[in-house]
Order: sequence, then C-alpha cells, then structure tokens
Amino acid sequence: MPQKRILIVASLLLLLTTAVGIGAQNDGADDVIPIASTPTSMSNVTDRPVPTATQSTSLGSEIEEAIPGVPTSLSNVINRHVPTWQPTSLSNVWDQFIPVTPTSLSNVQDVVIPTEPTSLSQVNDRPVPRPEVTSASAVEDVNVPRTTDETAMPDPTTTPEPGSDATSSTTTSADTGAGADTTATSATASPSEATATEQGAAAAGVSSDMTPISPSLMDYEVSALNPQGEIAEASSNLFWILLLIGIPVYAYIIGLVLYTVFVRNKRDAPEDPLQEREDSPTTMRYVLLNSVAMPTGILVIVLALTLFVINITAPSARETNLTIEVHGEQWWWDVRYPEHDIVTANEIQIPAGEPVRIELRSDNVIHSFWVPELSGKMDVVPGAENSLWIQADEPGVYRGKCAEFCGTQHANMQFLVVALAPDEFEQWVTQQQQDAPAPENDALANGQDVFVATGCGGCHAIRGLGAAPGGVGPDLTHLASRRTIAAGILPNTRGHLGGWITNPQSIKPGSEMPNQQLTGEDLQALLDYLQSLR
Amino acid sequence: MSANQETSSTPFTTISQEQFGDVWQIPKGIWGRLVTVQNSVIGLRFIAVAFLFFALAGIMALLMRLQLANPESTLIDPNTYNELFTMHGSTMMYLFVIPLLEGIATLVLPQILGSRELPFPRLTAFAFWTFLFGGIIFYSGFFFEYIVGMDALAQEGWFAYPPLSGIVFSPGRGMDFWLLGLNVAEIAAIAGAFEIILAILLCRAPGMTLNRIPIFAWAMLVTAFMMLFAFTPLVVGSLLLEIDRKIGTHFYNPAGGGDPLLWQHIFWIFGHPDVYIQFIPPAGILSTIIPVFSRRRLVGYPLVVLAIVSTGFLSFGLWVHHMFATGLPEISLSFFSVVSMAIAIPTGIQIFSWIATMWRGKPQLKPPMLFAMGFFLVFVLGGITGIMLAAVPVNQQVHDTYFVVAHLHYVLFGGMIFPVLAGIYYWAPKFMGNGRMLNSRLGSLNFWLVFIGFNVAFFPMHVAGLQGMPRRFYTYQAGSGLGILNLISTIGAFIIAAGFAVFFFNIIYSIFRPQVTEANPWGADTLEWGTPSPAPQYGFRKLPIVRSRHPLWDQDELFEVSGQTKQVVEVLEQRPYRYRAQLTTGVFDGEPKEIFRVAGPSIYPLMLGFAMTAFSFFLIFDLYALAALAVVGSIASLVGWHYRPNTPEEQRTETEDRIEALTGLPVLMAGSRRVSRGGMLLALLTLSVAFVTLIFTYLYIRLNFDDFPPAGMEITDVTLPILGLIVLWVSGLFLYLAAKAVERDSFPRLRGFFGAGVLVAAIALGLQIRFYLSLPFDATTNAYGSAFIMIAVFMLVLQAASLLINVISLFWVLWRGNQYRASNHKSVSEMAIFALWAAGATSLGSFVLFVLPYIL
Repeated sequence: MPQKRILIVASLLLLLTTAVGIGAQNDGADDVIPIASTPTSMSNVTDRPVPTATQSTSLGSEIEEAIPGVPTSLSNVINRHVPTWQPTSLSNVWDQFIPVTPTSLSNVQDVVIPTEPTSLSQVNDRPVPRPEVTSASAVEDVNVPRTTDETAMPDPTTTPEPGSDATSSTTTSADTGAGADTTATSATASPSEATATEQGAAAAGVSSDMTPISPSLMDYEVSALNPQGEIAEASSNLFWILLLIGIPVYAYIIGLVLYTVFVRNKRDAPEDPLQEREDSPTTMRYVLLNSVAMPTGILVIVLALTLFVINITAPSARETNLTIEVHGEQWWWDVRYPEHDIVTANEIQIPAGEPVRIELRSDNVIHSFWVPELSGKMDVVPGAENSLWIQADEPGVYRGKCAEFCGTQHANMQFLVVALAPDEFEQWVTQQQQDAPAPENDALANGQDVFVATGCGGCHAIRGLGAAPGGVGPDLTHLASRRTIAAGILPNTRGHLGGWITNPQSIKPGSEMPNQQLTGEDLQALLDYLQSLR
Repeated sequence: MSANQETSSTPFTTISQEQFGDVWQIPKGIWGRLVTVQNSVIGLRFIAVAFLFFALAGIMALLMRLQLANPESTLIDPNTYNELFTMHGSTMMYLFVIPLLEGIATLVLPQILGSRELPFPRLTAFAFWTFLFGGIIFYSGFFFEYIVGMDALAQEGWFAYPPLSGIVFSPGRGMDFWLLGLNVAEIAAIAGAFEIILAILLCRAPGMTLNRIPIFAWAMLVTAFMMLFAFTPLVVGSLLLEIDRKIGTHFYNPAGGGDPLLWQHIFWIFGHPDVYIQFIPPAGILSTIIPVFSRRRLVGYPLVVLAIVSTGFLSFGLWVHHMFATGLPEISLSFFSVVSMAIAIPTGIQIFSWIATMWRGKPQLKPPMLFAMGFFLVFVLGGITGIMLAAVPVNQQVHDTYFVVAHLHYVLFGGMIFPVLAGIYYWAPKFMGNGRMLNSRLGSLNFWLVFIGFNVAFFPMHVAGLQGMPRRFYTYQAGSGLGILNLISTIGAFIIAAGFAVFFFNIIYSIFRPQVTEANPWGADTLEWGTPSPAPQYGFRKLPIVRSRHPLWDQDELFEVSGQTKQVVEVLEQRPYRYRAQLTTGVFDGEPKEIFRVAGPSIYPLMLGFAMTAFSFFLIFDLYALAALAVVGSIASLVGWHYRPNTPEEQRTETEDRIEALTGLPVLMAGSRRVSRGGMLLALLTLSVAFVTLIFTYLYIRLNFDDFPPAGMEITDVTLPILGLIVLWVSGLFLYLAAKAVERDSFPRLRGFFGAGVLVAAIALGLQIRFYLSLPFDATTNAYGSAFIMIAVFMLVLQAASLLINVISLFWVLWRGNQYRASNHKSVSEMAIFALWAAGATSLGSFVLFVLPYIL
C-alpha cells in the first residue's frame, strides 16, 4: 500500500526531527548556553559558525586577540568575513578595520573585486571610492594625521563636485573619496590603480597598525548568522535548528507533490477516480497524520526550543552593571552613559565579555536598534521605555543599523558597537569624561573660531567650549576618537569629514545638517580643530 | 438550455428567451455603462481595474529593484524611493489583492451557487465605484506631487506607523491622500463583504444545503466575515490617525497620553487577518481546481471547511507576531508565538487534502494545474520561513529585514498570485466575454517565466536579510557584500515582469483570436459550468436543483426532482419576467423561501460613491464647507437609491398572486425581507466591531494614565446623559411598537408610534448633545479627552443616523399613506432593530464613560 509507505516515511521523519530536537536540548542541558556550540551531531551537519581563533594565526601575532571567528564551510556561503578588531592603543583611532585575507565567498566578491574586472559584481557594483594614493603615502597620511598642514584641501566649493579630477591630487585622495561617495567621480580611478592601492593598503594594514581607511576597506558587512554574543548565538542556533527541521519538511511535501504528479500518476493512477465517492479511512488517516499529527509534533519541539531561547534573549534575562542610554534621532544615534556622564554619538563602547543594558529612548519617531552579530532588534518607541541587554564575547567592532523605517535617511542611520577589553574600556571612559582640550596652538584656535562663527555650535555640543546649546546634532566633544561620521556611514578621515561638512546633503539627502559654505582656509582650520578633539 | 423543457406543470404561457432576457440586458451606451449593476459586468471591471493597479505597483517594484541593483546607487533619491515602496505595498494590499478577490467572487459566486444575481447588485456597483474612486484619489497623489508640485505622496510605508505618519514628521498632505483615499477603498471591501456573505447564505440553488456548497464559496464566506472584523478596525484606526493629524487629538501622541503602539495593535489586528483574507479565497480556488484536474472529489471536504473556518478564527489571534520587537512583555510574546505556529495546522490540512486528492486521482498538468504546482513549491517554502518567524528570537533577528520581504512574497505571491492565475486560466472560458479559452502555450510560458523569475528575485532576499539588509533601505554600502544578491533579485524581478507581459498578452490575444469552447471544457463539477458559454446575464433561467456537492458529476439531470421545488423552479422559469426575479433559500437546508425582485440598473451607487469620494477629497484639502456639501450629496444619493417611483410597473398584479399560489412562496417586489434583515444584522455587526475598537482604544489609553480620568476631567453630573439614555430607550420602544403595528396591519397605529418614536429620539439626542457640549475639556486636551469625545461622537452619530433614516421614512409613511400595504412597510422593523441597537450601544458607551473609570 502506498499509504503505508508514506506513513512509514512520515513517522521516520517525525522521529528524526524529535531526535534532533531532543539532542539539541540535551546538549545544552548542563551548559550556560542552552544550545551548545560544542560539536554535536547537529552542529556537524550544519557547521554552525563557531567562534574560533584559528584564522588569526594567518594574520600574524599582532592580531592574536582578534577572536571573532571566521565561519567555516557551509556558513561561509552565507556569512561574511568577520570584522577583525585589532586592539591598538587608544591613540590609534584610525585603523580599526583590517580586512581578513579573503577566505570566504563574500570576501572574494567584495574585497578583491578590482583584481577581477570581468566578474559580475565588478560590472554592476558601483565603483567604490578609494584613495588614489600609493600605499606609502596612504600610510603617511594616516601616520601623521595631526600634522595637517601638508594635506592641502582643495577649494571646498569644488571639492564635492562630480567630475573633479581625482587623479590630480594624490595627497587629498581621501577627500576626493568623500566627495565621490555621492557621485560617480571615483569611476575615474582605473581598476588596476585602485587594486594596487588597496593591496598596498591591505598589506600595510597587516604589517603595521596603520591602515588607511577608505569606504572599500571599512567593514560594512554584518550577518545575523555570525554571532559574537550570547543572544545572537542563541538566535542563530535556533535559526539553524529550524532550518534543519524545515528543509526535510519542505523536501517531504514537495517530493510528495512531484512524486504524485509525475511518477505515480504515470504508473498506478486509478482508472476512473470519479468512481471513488467516499474518502477511505486510510486516506483520511494519511491526511490527518500529515497535517495534524506531524506538524503538531514538530511544532511542540520548535515551541519548546523557542520558549527556551526566549529565556536568554529576553531583555530581563541578565543582570547588568553598565547601563547605556541610546536615543534614536533622525537619523543618528545619541549615546549617553548616565553613570559616567559621557555623551557621544553613533558609537557605543562597551566592555567585552559582560552583559550591558541598553536603554532605548526616542522623542521623535520609532526606530529599531539592531546589532545583528550581538542581538536581535528592539524598537525605540517614543513614550516607551524599552531596553535590551547585549554582550560581545570578545573585543571587536560590530555594526548596527536602524531597522524600523524612520524617514528619509533610514538607510543611513547606522552605528558601531565597539567592545573593548575591560581595562581599555576604563581608559576610554576616563578619556571621554574629559572636556574637549583647549586649542594647543593658533591654528587650532583659529579652527575653533570657525566652528563658533559658522554656527556649528547651534546644533553640536562640544563640552568645554563655552555654552554651546547643542542637542540637535551629535555631540562632538571627542569626535576625533570616533571611527565613523555621518551615523556609521563614512570612515572618520580628514577627507570624509571635509566632504561631509561642505556637502552633507549630497551624501545623506534630507539630513538635518545643511551644506556649509566655507573658504578653503576656514575648512582646513575647522578640520584641524575637529581632528584635535580626541 | 432550459427553454425547451416541458412546462406543463405551470399555467403560464411559455415566453421566449428574448422576452425573458430583456429585463436582464446590460443597458447600452455611456449612460448604460454608468448605471449597470450586474455582477458579470461589475466583476470583470473589478478584476480589470485591480490588474491595472497591479501593473502600476509592479512598475514601482521594478524601479525599486533598479535602484537597489547597485550599491550606493543615485538613480532614485531617498524620498522618491520611500514613496515607491509605500505606494507599492499599499497598492498591492489595498487596491490589488482584495478588489481582485472580490471581483472574482462577484463574477463567479452567483453561478457557482446556481443563482441569478447577487442579492444587493447596487451595493456591488457601489463597492466597485468606491474602490475605483478611492484608488484614483490615492493615485492622484502623483498628479499633485509631480504636476502641481505639492507634497502629496505618502512615504511612510504601507503600515504608516505614527509618530512618523503624524503631522509633525509628515507635514505634507501625502498621508492624508493615503489615509482618506484608502479609507474609501476599504469601504468598498466592507460593502463587498456584505454582498458575499448574503449571497452565500441566502441566495443559492434549491437543494444546495450548507454542506453541499462549493469550497470556494466556503472560503469566500469565511473571508467576507474576516473582512468585516479586520477592515472595520482599520477604518476606525485610520480615522483616528487622520483626526490626530487634522484636529490635534492625541490617540497616537505619547506627549498627550496616547501611544504609538496603539496604532500598531489596531493596524495588525487588521493586517494579519488580511494576510489570510488574501490566502483563503485562493486556497478555495485551489480546492476547486485540483479536484477538477485530478478527476477526484476533494479529499476531506468537511475537514477542509473546518480548516478554513479555524484559520479564520486563529488569524485574529496572532497579530502581535508583527510586534515582537516592540518591547511587549515576554509572556505575551510566547502566547502569540504559539498561535502563530498553530495556524500552520489548518493550512497543513488543506495542503495534504490537495495532495491526497491528487494521489487518489489522475492529475493533468493543464495551465491551471501548472500554476497550482507553482503554488506548492513557492507557498510551502514561505510557510516554513513563517514558522521560523513565529519563533520570537529568530524573528527579532530577521524582523524588518529582507528575510521578511522574501517570506511575505513567498506566501502572498505563492499563496495568492499563483492560485489566482490558475483561477483565471480556469474560469476564463466561462466568464471572459464570449467563452474564450486562454492560450495554453502562452499559459505555460507565462507560468515558467513568473515561477523562475519569482525564485530568482526573492530567494536571494532570504540571504540578504540574514546578512543585515533591513527593509525600506533606499541604498546600501558598497562594502556590505549585498551587491550581488541584490543584482540577482533585480534580474529576477524583470523576469517576473516578462512573465506578466506574457499574461496580459495572452488575455489580449485570446480576445482577438477567440478559441471558443464548449460549455464545460474542463469537465468540471460545479454549477457555473452548467450554463452555456458565454453565459447569459441571468445565468440560470431554470434554476438547477442540487442533490450533490458535485452536481455536474453526480447528477444526470440538473432539474429533476418531484414536488414543490420542481414547481418553484418551473414557475420561475416563466414568471416573473417583467423584473429581475431571484430566489432566496434557507441558510442551512437550501429550501426556497422567497421570490423577490432584485434591484436593477441605477445611477445612485455611482453618485453615492462619487459623493463619498468627494467628501474625502475635500477633507484632504481642508475644504470643510465643500465636504459638508458632499455629505448632503451622499444622503441625497442614498434617498434616491431607495426611492421607488409610484408607477404602474411597481404595482403588484395578479401574476404575483398566482405565483404565490402556485409556489407557496411570497413574491416580494419591494425586495427580500430575509436579505434586508441579513443586511441590517451585518451592518450592526460592523458598527459593533467599530464601537468595540473605540472602546479598546479607550481602555488601551487608560493604561497610560495613573489617574483615570485625569485630575480636573472628572464627570460630576451625569443627569443629562442618563436622562437622554432613558428617553432613547423609550423611542426604541415606540419604534418596536410601530413595527408590531405593521405586523397587525394597522396603519394609524404605525403612524402614531412611528411619529412618537422619531419625536422622542430627537429629544434624547438633544439632551445628550447639550451635555457633551458642556464638558470642561475637549478632544485635544489629552488622550483621555480624545477617547472620551470619540466614543461620545460615535454614539451621537449612531443616534443621528437612526433619526435621519426614521425622519425620511416617516415622511414616506405619511406622504404615501394612501398606498399603505403591510408588505411594503415591513422595513419598519429593521429601523426598530437599528434604534434598539443604538440604544444598547449608547448604554454600553455610557457605562464605559461614566462608570468604568470609577470602578477600575
């Protein structure tokens, strides 16, 4: 009887999934992490990304602490390479983004694009702005960020214009990059040149601390399946289990349909099915078994796992020692440490290895706080007091995004979570608690004057700079210590900063920040000053 | 087919087919097109206009895909992109899927049920016009934005979450176009739901008991009820949002004690059932098609019906799974997680019933069946990801990412587009003009392009979502690794577009190269295939007598039965023919109950639709005087709609008496009592849902206040409203006595009680209005004031509407008193029901306003 065969297959499937579920539960029974990442039968099958340090050896001893793992095999296809955090001293704020050697598929596509100009992505991806500099000058550029006098800024009125000759000013390449970010200017960079630059830069990055940051090297990749914290890991494990259950269920149903229509129909379909006026008990049993018994069995397992995992991911699941208030603005993130009296923006520093509470506040529209590698989303609802806990197991930089549509620039409302080793976090706190330093020399004082005269202080607070009201835009007290500008979109380089100040409306159309008309000297002075705000 | 049947059992002379069909003719000319109310015409119009909107939304999708094909593309600026996804989603949800399904139901239901026409043809026409005009208002945003140069296109997403959609963050008129335009279109959905419910429950072929109706009808019945329960809260919620914007109430404003999450609750109480509203009718189509092409009766008919009904119920219990990331308590998340998973079971029942049907049958892969295969492959995958999404921790990761975009397209495209295309290929020979079959080669090409394109476009989105691509991102960074996935999706989108180009070409090709077929080309089992192709406007002249679930398979003779039913059918074949005659049947047993005159062509549905649209349109531009004029126009249209001229054609003749004598059924020239009673009950149900939504709003807002009512807003003296309430009940009692007077056929008593009822109702209304005008706060004071006033306004509007209807009726009772006839005045009982219900609602509302805050 064909029905009998189906019954057997179905029961086997049910048993299998039950066994898988039970196995998964048993694994976690005596572990803090419920679904253990230790190799089990299941994790063998799925190759769930397990944090591993093996990759770091290939990158040299400097990044021994670059723990965030490189996913292997199956997950490579889906995952990206991991942001490899290099715990450098706090003074080297420029170079946190070091590309891993291309191990995964996405690496090949995204990082090595220029070397394969014929690949699909090369043809279609918009050319990435990159510095038209040699690796040497790139290193120099970053090495001496404070000796800004050599980096002659072009006239700001022409800088962001499309079609400005990118190759003419090799030393201001980063600036060109910023301007080009919203235009097609960088298309003028020939792929081979860019490749050389990039490879040089990458090489420099590995051999020394000094990596030039350009958008192409900045790590924009994230993946919910590359968990770097407990919540994300539990969610990702649950995802893989559900997928593992889902694939055979899908295969079973579709296999049954296709078998019925294409195989059985040809072989042993009844002569005149219309003669069958009643549904036989066997048929009904088959339907009920498959549609009620089997899914109920599976769903009970899925549900049990879900409820179990909710215990980890729930906002109240962990006691925390540090509370950070994150305010969603249109379209950036205001970050406050009430216990430490720190205000910063778009970059949340946390101590690695411990749970941290994030209190989410908004007085405008609804946003959603999402750091895929650390945790699921939590909405930032005006009038509500939502919070969540996050934890980064290891030091690293994790990209977050706003995930609830919040208006024009929703897509460019991103941020970084930077996990520091506990002692470095303490250092960071101490440093951030300082007021902005008084200008050390005339050039910086001049820049401060430009800041005041231009009215920047109307929106941006700099603690220590008189009574600037601020509050509308990000706090700039320690701007130069941050990795990005424009809500996680651009690396915080002199060039990008200049491009952003003069023409934010072409980078983030609709942003609250107006374009600034500044003379070349004023802009240089302002940049000097802003870059001194460490 | 029935003209040659022997007619010996009736004393009437046999009339010719032309004579019989005369009154059913579609009116000619432009005017004729405006007044047509027939289901066959309106149904096709619904479908055609819905596909027009589908094409527009599809073009917008292609533009979005072009923008996303490359990272950091500057092809489309962010605001335009936001407009595109808002318009795409809103059009698909409100202006394509629902109207299309309603159109199919309008077209197919009467014939599949063995009836001649829907019970409220003018309501069908009204639904179409409001849908069309609502869509036009909505799309006129493009005109006002790009030609006039104002901010007239919404860019807040199809869910329009406040505060983003509030006046502060969306000061332009885009949201007003969105809210008011779609509200008009939603009224069409509710009107269509009335029609569908009453058609299925009351207007079937004799002998079609409730357990013999086709699964498609079951699916539409459940869907129509769901539409009442889902769209009504949405209409209320949208109105609250609109008055938040226009008047400054605080329902969704946290600063005033409101709550943005309230909107999300109301929206998803609509939004999630809406997903099943979109899935259940297509599932009904599959339950129709799969047995036909497998030549096997559907396995587990009762089980499938049970599954459909339980899906309907369950779908109202899982809206929170759209809100897993909003910070609700974990315990409620767990509950909604359970329900979200449980709904897989009824869906599974249907899927395995179809598989079992194919297993026990001989499936043939004709184009409709090909699309059914596409359904399995696509929808089941969406179902699997649906279970993943029901798991809260996974949901919190992939919520609002492209994973969800992929999931929702897999379930909606797979669960709705594929079955509906299957249905169109299946039913085209019967309903498309002159019985034309769609070309099957083009059909295969259409299928393969759409199927392959769909998977190419949407499968990579799962991965993109997991790789951190949120929805509604107008761009993404070049280094994010998302470029290749998006490029593939874009290519897929254009393959889908090519597939639909083939579909539209196939329709046009088949119109110009007709491939006329026989009456039942597929060898199907349901009644619509029992009419000739093309079917005459009245469908069945001689009504079939049903003795099986599959009449065309099991019954050699559709009309053979002895006794009274045979008599009814044979009389109806000849008489009455001066007006459109229709039969009502028992809800459960399908026995004939009444012969009634079904409404014919009328301009008033168009006028009413136009007036209501004009009302919305003027509100968008704050032209309140003109809006008031439009309200007057609406009332005038309604009066005209129901007005019956006092001409000889309207008079009963002895023919009616003879029909009554022969059939034993009442012949009702003023319309069916049962249908109007059903309509009244459904109206009360809808209004009750609306009222409950308001009370829910009030209680929800209560949670935001420590003191309720807030200090200084207490009600101290409730003498006036209590007095008003008592007087209101007295007026209801008078109207009840007036209805009793009609039953006793006493005109003086009718006039007396009716007049007294109207007078007393006016006093009650006056007392209450006086009280509410003297309140120490108003709707803009805070959210409590907003909710309080809104409930009060709702109660007063109910009473005013009741009063207005009664005043107009009173006028007619007195004016046309000399033509008084009990059978023409039975609708007084409907007015009494409405008045008593309004009194009941006012009592409940008064309890909520004056008692509840002090005991909670």
